[in-house]
Order: sequence, then C-alpha cells, then structure tokens
Amino acid sequence: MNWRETPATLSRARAEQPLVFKGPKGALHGIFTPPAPDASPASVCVVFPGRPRSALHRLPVLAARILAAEGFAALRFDLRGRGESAGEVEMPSRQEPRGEDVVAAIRYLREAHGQKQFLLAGYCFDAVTALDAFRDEAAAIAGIFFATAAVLEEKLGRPPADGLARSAALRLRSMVRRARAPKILESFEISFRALARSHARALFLYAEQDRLRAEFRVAEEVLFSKLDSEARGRLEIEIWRGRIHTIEGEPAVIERAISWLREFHPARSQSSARREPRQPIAQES
Amino acid sequence: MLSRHPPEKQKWTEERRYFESDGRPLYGAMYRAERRGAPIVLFCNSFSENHCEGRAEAIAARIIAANGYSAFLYHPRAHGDSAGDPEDVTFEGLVEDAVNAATYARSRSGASQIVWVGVRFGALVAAHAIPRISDTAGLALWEPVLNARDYFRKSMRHVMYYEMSKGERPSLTVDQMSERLKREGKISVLGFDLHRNFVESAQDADLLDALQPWRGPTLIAQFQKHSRLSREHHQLRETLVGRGLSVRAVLHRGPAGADCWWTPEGIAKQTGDWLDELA
Repeated sequence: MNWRETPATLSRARAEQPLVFKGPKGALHGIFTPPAPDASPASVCVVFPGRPRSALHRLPVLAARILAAEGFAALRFDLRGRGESAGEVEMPSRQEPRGEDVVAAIRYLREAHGQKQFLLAGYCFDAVTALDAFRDEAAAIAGIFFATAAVLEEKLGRPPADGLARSAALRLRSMVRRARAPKILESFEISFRALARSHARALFLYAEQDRLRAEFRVAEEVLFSKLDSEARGRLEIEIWRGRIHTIEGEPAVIERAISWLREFHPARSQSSARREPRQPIAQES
Repeated sequence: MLSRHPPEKQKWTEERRYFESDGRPLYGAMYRAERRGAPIVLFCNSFSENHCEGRAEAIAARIIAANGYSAFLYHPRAHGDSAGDPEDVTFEGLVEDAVNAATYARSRSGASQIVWVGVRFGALVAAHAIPRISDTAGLALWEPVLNARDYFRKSMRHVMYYEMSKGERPSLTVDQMSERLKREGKISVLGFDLHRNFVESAQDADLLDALQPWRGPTLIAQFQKHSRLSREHHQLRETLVGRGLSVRAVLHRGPAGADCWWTPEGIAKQTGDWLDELA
C-alpha cells in the first residue's frame, strides 16, 4: 500500500481538530478528523484507541486521514496513561482492558460531534480495549476490527509449532497433569458475548506463527463454536500465514483494517464490497 | 481548543492547534502560564522512535507551566499528528520546523525569550535552530544525541540486539544495513524507518560543532540508570565549560524498576528549578 500523503489526506490533516474529553481516570486527548465535505458521507465514525494515538509508523494517523478522505469521520486518541492523556503509566494488562476509555470517546463524539454509529479498530491490547466497549455501547457500534490480541487469562507456554496439533497437545497435557485448562479472559468473554448479541460485524485477524494464534484457537473452540448461524455470519475470522504480531507486521494489519472498514461505506456496500485479504490461509464466517 | 486546569502552583491553560511550517500543518500544544516576563520553554522533540510517545515532554510541560513558565511542544513534519511524508524529511526541514515552532510559540504566548529543551535527536535540531532565532535565554539538553552519524549506527545496532534477544541470529550487520539503506533508500529500524534522504542530510550534524557560537546557560540532563555522568556527557560538559559557558549537569534515573522516560516528574522539577535560577 502506498502510505504517502496525497492532496486529499493533506486536506484532512488541515481539517483535524485536537480534542480533550473526560475519561474515567481524567482527561483523554485525541484528534478528530472530519469527513471530507466533497466525499460521499459514510455516516459512521472510526475510533482508534492508541498507546499512544500515533503508534509506530503513525499508522492510525494515516489510516484516519485516508478514511476521512473517503467520507468517514475518525478519532484517534491516547488511552489513559499514554501520550498526552491523564493517568498513571502502567504496563498493559490482559486482565484490564481500557474499554471505559473507548466508551467515553463514543459518548463524547455522540454529544459533541453528533456521531451516531461507530467502527472500532485495534491491534494487540488496543483490540481487547476496543472490544471491551461492547459492554456499554454495543448498540452504537457497527463493526470492530480486532487484530492479534490476547484472549486467555495467562499466556500459553510456547509458540505453536503446528497449530491444531499443538492446541490439542496443550489440552491433553493439562488433563494429564490435572492442571487448569486454558481459560478465556472473563473480560473478553463478556465483551464477546455482547458483540455476539449485537448487530455489529467483526473481523478477527491472527497469523499462524504468532503465539497468540494458539490462544485464539481456544476462543474459537469455546466461544465461536457456540454462536448461532446469524452471529457466526457476522463475525469473520481471518488467519494469515507467518506472523503479524511484530513491528514489521503492523502495516499490513492496518492496511487490512482500512480495506475492511471501507466495506461499511454505503457507496461501497451498494457496489458489492471488494475484499482484499492478504492471502489468508483460512477465512471463516 | 482551550481548557483550564486547577492550579498546582500557578494558573495555566492548555491549547492545542495546528500551525503552519513550510506549507504543511504541524501539531502544537501550548501550556500557557501567567508569569510576567518569563521565557517560554520550547520542547524540541526527537526524531522517530524517541518521538513516538512524547509523554515525557507532555508531563514535563505541565509541571513547568505550573511553575509559571509557558511551555510549547510540537510534532515536526512526518511525526505524530503533523502532516508530511517520512521519505521527504531532511535535517534542514526539522530545523525549519523548530524555527517556525519558536516563532509561533512566541507569538501565541507573548513571551519574548525562549528556553529550548532539546530531547535526544531534538538537541541536535535545537542547536542548529538557535542561531536562527533571536533571544534564546537557555538551552536544556535531555539525553542529547551528540552526533547524528553515531546515532544512526546505534539505531542499526539495536536491530541486531533485538534479534539476538529473541534468540535469533542478526539478519544483517550494521555495515550491511548501511549498504541496504544506500541501495534501497530505506531500512526499518525497530518501529520506524530510516530514509536515505534524511540520513544523508543529517549525518554531519554534531552537537558541539553546532554549539560553537552558543554562550548561554546550559543544562545537561542524563536519562540513564547510572549513578554518575557518562563519559560522553562528562566530555560535553567539560567542553562547554571550557568555552566559558555556565553548565549544570543533572542525573535523571527515575524510580527503581521504572523507565526514566516514563517518569519525567523529577527532571521536570529540576528543569523548573534551573529556570528559576536563570530568572
């Protein structure tokens, strides 16, 4: 993908509005990118929670401007304790996603900017944080792009040598040792169920050689397998070859986020959305 | 937008706006204090990876504003929330942004004098910007990069350390990375890209050379866990003192177990004390 600035994205940069809104632990800072006035309106606002909001390679900045040039509104903001936002600096904890911050962003955008429908996009911890917002704002969220995040209470031992076999071996070993089986994070499960009950679409993106893929396999077995057909149809899974939970892997993930989010544009939906996944080895929905 | 904060010591407000530099919008945050006649403290951010978070500057700016000094931080072109493409960034462009940031900050704050805080690579940028701006009252160097060429090589070496930390054999040596940069125009260096344009434009930048004309008060802040000044910082101090400058060196080690860049409260306070002494 060509990430270079264009006249259209530069125009969106010029229109950007720094904003501050109240979060549960103090002020949260972000940048609102209004949709291009000459673009067909998407009537939906994309929210990128960040640590910090510009992240590595500034990908959320570029993504926000690209999407805004096509008619989406966008907000990128610093989660608490990161960037300019208030709060104590803490290592991200899989047990403590920051969904309340995303909920605060949604409510602020609704009240101050008249936004009604939202799309969420997150990578790693930010994905769990975005999903966590479904507890309180599921009705307002049209879709979530969820890439390569932890879903279990504890890390699994080693990276998967061979996906299915490894997952099975892990469970077998747990049984033999009478150890506790891998347990889905309560926060993930509650949010996931809220997502399943909603009308939102989702794309869960993982890569085969990432350690987190083994975690997600447990979620597939425990949670996805119990979805009814309607919910299963809304919640897509894409598994790529290689690794994406790396510094080098992130640009391709955000590129995929952009292409998936574009499907929510009414103009795109009407002309049968193109899907351009990067050679998934499995695509399920 | 403007927001008022409860005073810790003095009243101050925050204002975030884009300003123009070389035909593109740059993000800037002003922390405006009300002490009359005080200089404005201008944070000259680093390049790429050290600029990514910007939290140390944001926290320090608030503490300094609470001490009565307006502070301003900005994102240079192709960094953070500013516009621009990394492929097009040159060292001269970063210096131009610093000069434009200083002009803008002064006009918005009403302050006439500037105290620069050069952060990592930003120290090199600030040192080159100072001669182009009148009324610089002081220069604080936060863990300054002393020489661009060494900085680039260290950045490449970090890639090797990172690969080794994962139990992998380094994929390229520093020399091989340099060759690839020349050949392909870009290499990835742990979360950011080094572009040939930028490296070629910056590689001769040297802090002591750039500070030859500088005669003002100077603060060297070392952000390391060591209990004494590093050899490089010691040499920097001795050279500047030898030129007749008033130099203070402080150690910022942060709390035990914490990255000192995440806990800038101590160095912000020391920088504030140094500002008080300048006044």
